[in-house]
Amino acid sequence: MSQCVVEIENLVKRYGDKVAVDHFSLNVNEGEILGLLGPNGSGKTTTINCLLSLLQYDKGTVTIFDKEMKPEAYDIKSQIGVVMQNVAVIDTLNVYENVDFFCGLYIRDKATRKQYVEEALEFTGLTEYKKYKPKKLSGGLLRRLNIACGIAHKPKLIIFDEPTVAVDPQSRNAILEGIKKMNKDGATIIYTSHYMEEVEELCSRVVIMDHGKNIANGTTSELKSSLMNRETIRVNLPNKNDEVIKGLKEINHVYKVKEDGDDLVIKCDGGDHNLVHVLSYLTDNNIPFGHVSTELPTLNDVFLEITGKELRD
Amino acid sequence: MFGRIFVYKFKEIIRNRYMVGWNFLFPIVLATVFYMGFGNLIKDDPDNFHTIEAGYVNTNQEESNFEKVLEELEEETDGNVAILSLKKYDSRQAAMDAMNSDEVFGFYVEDGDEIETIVPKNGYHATIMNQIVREYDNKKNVVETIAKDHPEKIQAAMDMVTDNITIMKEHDFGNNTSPYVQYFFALIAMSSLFSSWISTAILEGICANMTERGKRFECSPTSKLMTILAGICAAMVMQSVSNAVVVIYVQEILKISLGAPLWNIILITTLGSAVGVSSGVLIGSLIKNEKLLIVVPLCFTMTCSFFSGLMWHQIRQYIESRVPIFNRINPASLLVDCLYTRATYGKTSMYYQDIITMSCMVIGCLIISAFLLRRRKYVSL
Amino acid sequence: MSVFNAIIKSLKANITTIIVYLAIFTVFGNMQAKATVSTQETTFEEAIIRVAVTDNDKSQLSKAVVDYLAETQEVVDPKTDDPQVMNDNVRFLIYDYALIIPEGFEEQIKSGNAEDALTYIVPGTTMSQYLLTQKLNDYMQDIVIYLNSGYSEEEAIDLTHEQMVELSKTQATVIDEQEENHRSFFTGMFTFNGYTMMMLLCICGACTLTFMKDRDVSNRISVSGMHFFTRNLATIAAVFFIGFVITTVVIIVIQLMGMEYANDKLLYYAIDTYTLMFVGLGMAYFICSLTANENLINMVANMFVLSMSFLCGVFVDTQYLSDSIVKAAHFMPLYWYTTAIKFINDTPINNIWSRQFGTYLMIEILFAAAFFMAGMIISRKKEQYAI
Repeated sequence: MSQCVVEIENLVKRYGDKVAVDHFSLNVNEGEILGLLGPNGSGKTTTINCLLSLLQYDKGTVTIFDKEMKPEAYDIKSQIGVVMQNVAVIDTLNVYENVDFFCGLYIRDKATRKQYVEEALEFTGLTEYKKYKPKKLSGGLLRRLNIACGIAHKPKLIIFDEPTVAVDPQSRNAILEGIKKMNKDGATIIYTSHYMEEVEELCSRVVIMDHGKNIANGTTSELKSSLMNRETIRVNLPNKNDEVIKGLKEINHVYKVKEDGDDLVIKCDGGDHNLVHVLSYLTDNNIPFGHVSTELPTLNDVFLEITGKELRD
Repeated sequence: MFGRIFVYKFKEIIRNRYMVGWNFLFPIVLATVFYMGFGNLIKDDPDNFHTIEAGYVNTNQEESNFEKVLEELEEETDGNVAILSLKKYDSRQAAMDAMNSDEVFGFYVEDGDEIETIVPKNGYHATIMNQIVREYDNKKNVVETIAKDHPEKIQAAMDMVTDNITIMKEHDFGNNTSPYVQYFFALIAMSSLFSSWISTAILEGICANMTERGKRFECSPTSKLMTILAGICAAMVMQSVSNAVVVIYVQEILKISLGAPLWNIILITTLGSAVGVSSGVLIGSLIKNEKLLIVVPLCFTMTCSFFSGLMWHQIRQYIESRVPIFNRINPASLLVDCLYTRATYGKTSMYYQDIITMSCMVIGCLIISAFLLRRRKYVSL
Repeated sequence: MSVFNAIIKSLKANITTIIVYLAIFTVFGNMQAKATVSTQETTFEEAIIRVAVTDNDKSQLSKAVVDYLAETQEVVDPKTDDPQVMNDNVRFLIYDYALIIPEGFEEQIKSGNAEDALTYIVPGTTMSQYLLTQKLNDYMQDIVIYLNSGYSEEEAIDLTHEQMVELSKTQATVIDEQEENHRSFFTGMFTFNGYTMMMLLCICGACTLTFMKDRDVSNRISVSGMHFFTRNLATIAAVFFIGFVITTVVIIVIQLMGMEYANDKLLYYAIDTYTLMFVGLGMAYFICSLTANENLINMVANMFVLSMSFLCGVFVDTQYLSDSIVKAAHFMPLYWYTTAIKFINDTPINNIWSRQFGTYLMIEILFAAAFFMAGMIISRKKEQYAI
């Protein structure tokens, strides 16, 4: 059994009357990429700040590498890398100096540091920009610099807080590949994002937070299978009318029929062979139809289903 | 580790064009402007006594004693300028025309026994011209009174009148720097206190509740206080160099003597930089609002500089005569006072007192800040 | 109208700056103006010197000296017995003269050795130093002569005092024929205004213009369908409106503060000030073409305006500046503003509206135009080369 790198138990953080993190527990095992998901204001960043001992929490314990995490736990901190949501670099230093400076906070040996910095630049594809000041970099390059500053010291645990916000697909792809490679090289990763396809592609396990609570936890397939009994059938039906819609609604397990241009979208709630039942109804009643498809739930559906669809702050 | 953070913090500061602008360029520009504005006043104070151009009209057509007295006043005395520069006119009208065309300030008309003084306006010149007549009359009266009461002493009295005994002695303080140099001292104080802004900027980059960079710092296994100390040292070096540049510029390029050896002034201004930097650290450890971190050091600097005489050179002494305690706690006034005392009186007890107070301020600010920052292990995000 | 309103509302961000400069203006401008105001005089008045006396002798003679000073000068408390502090007090004009009567003063005079019997502290060889030293020397000389001529101490003191009273009747005649050559309160206030108003206009003008120059904001406005002409007109109108309001407020403040010194020339001072408004806004436009950063705007405005204020006669009267600096000041707009103010001050009201006054205003307008042009060229070049 793999070792538990991060262990959060019953974490509670209040801001006055508002409970930001509500008895939240989480385990991160060695070598895994854990996706931490949640709508805006769900408590993800607060949890990460508590995890990093940047914030004092009201209750609970945070253990990293089997030791209690405290502000002065320098031995733990030296093994953690953080990639902030906002770009955290020094504007007046160039790319190389920035990476060297932040890496130097962890690595004292000059030769090792030089090697690590070069590797980090290479890894993020910034070698040719090392003399550039941050202001001269494009959004994607800046994000990559932000990552280089966070990972240059080769940490064992890396926390990525939405690292791909406002990044083009090419850069995003490069970042995701990089994260996979770091994971392959042995780093344990906590990854927060609002991009579900990224999480699906990257994370071996996902925790969904809302209102400060851990409301779902499992691999992506486990989470999706919890919605497996929901099926959506899309039928191209140029001659549809109210009677047809009414007829379809009467089929067992069909709970919603919605028009979408020439198509009808039929939502089924459980049951077997729903597609066969729909098609039989159409052929039995001589209703001509075109293209037919069925859709299974995505992680996005899971997320919306669990957290609800109302707008957040 | 300390050295590396120091080097990087120093790089960070000197590459920040706003800091270089405000802390390096602005004092030099202001020093140049002060030089242009006050340069002449430093060389020749307008309050200094200047020979009065006076006219004289004698309608008696015979040589008078008063005229002799006036002529005596035309001579320079032990290094001092002559009191009067006399121009004689034939008629009252000619003298009046000369006065109206600014050829002379005013004039005397001697008619019979009467001596009339005519001036265009009141002021020191008018009073001095009038005083000369009074003095002449006075001595006449003294001699007449003695002649009447003690005729046997009249010769001795006459001798004494002409002897002109010096009863008044000026207290000599040695080095007499112009009060206008005070503006340059206040300028150096302002520049030193501007470094409080550098300190808050450094703290901003180190504390997690202020910037994302700060978060990165606090996540690293580096001691926060050591990092802050390295930052403070970088700020100190930057500000001390900036102050030294201003001092050398004023003394060597603008050729305005600051009244003390260069090394001594630079040492004092270095202490001033330490005061500015440490007060900035204290401000930074007390305030958490990002906007206030710029506004408060600026207001602090400008208020302290104003009361130390940056805009009105008399204000520091005015406060000294009314609420002296304020001058003892205003860092800008302390620095100005230290420089001024050194320049004017040398290394007096006041000079050492200023140095000790400033040193205590530096230590006090740093201890309180360290206490506040140490207590603030967790930040409020 | 919405662009106009937005700009006016964005001025709120500068409210602290406005309050600070208006406060500086009302306090220091007022102080400076009151200190330099002079009016026509017809009777002679002696210059009174503030003298701080330290009497360490407490003898009959020392009291007589103090009484004499109290009768003829303004005697103040020295507030210290430290000569060094007294020296600082006279150097920084807390008082003009410090007199120290040493212990044993009376004895020394009576013994016949009057040399250096009194010590004084003065800020160098000044008018006040000469005058009071002379007066005290005369007073003491009379006493010494009387004492040596066989009079008793009381008699010597009384005789000298009587003489001094008698002599106070000797007064100069003041013939003041130059009617206009006096500095009015308005002149002082409007001169100082050259600094504060320029700072206000530069900072407020530049910051509001920057708000409009922000690429995203201006892009959003330009896609809004509002006509190019309308939105630029709104920007110009808003900035001029701000300038006009600031200038008017300043003029009203001066008028309110100068009630007791009011003269009919306010209109001309106001015309000169409104002309300066164009220069201030021109400079604001020029500065914001150089940078859009608020901090940098502050720095550049401070450097420009402070320098001009020192060199153009706002803080230091041009008579104290060297000729070369005054010549250089001719190339600065504030010089023409202060020159126009001096002209208004020195010219009878009916003659002010003249070609000379017009020339001064014209030069100011030309400077304003030059600043606008320079600003436009820089902005254009920046846009061309996407700096």
